[in-house]
Amino acid sequence: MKKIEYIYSKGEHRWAAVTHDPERPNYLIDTNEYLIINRNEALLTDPGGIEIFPSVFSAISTEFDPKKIRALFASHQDPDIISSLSLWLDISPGIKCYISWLWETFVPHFGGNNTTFLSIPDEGMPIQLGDLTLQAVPAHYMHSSGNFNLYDPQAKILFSGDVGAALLPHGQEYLFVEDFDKHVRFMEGFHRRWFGANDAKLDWCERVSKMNIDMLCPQHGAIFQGPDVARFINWLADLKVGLQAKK
Amino acid sequence: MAQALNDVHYDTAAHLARLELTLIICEDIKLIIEIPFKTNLIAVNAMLITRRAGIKSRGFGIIARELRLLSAKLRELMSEVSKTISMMIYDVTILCKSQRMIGYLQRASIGDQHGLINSAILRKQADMNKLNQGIEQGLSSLLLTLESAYEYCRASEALSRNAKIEAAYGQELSGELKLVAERIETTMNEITSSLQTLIHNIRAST
Repeated sequence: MKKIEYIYSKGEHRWAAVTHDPERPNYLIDTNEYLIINRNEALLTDPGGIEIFPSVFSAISTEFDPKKIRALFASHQDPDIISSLSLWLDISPGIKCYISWLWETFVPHFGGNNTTFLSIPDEGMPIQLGDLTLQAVPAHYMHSSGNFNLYDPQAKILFSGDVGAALLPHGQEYLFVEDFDKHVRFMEGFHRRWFGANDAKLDWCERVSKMNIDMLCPQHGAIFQGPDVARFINWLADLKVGLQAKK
Repeated sequence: MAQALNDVHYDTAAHLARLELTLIICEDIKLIIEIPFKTNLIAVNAMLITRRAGIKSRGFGIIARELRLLSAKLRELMSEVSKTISMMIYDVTILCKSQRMIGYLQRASIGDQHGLINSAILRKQADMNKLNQGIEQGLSSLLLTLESAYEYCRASEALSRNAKIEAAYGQELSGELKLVAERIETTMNEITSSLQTLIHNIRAST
């Protein structure tokens, strides 16, 4: 079963990370889900695939009533991001799913109908959760062509989806990056291959470098905090990705 | 073949109702889990006061130690309950997942001339039956642990009565000890009543 740990807590505003499942079969990529709680409701980022749904759901239920999850935020359209949608809808038929407008006719292949999706325009949009205003931040072509991060300006946390992802060896997972230089080996290949556009990458780096971020939370791997956030952005800005990486 | 498929009756609503029930039990348990921590704090507070009161409140000190033992026992039992309920939620969500898969297979079964889909459904049904048995066992084990916690609390009810009596011997600190004794009584009542309600609700729903 996955574990749930609070990474931010201030009054009724909390972020919980649902991380590594020691029993996960190694043919499934490991994922992180983040539960953003504000007062009596919550939003779950990239809820994961159908195979890991029992593990995610039961981990959340140890800390929070999952029926109070009001919305899902899908950074993009991949199966490890949102293929569990139909099961979330079985449990909470009224749950909403925020996703790029680009994918709103593709993702219903996983479940949902025309009342399920709240489409995000290319430029992003504010997302209300209780009295908290989150911001969907564009991250297009990083690696999906319709891709968003989610920023919490009060907690200063950026959920970065696949940006900052690392493929940690099975059994050696850790929650926070502690040694950035050693961590690079687990994320370099991922970013070179899955990120196609150098211009898009630089555009993203410029955008997020202006934001006030204490923690950068990817969907795979470990969380960057403090000075490692800027270190990661600089590292990514210098990295050759996609076709340029082959030259 | 068609008859076999018809015989395989699945009820999505029943699985979801079961999940709903499990989640309600889980939320109730979360509330009860906080009580042993509260009990421990009261016991520590009582021990500190009795230390100040000296020999006159030795009896109260014994009660405070017993209260700490009760709190530790309850924490142990509630941790067991917590693990059981987490496993049950996990298993019930697997049932929900399998149910959805069967729904897809059933929709695809029209024209299944080789019985492949029917076989797949039957295999899934066998897995689900095993899971159902595990969930039933989990529920029985949950009830047993909760009943054991309840009995333990009932047996310790004398603690709050004795605390009131012993508070009277605390001389200049007897007022303070009386307040602690009242808090012990309130907490004992709270936990006994919460456990009783939870046990009743689980029995009524199964």
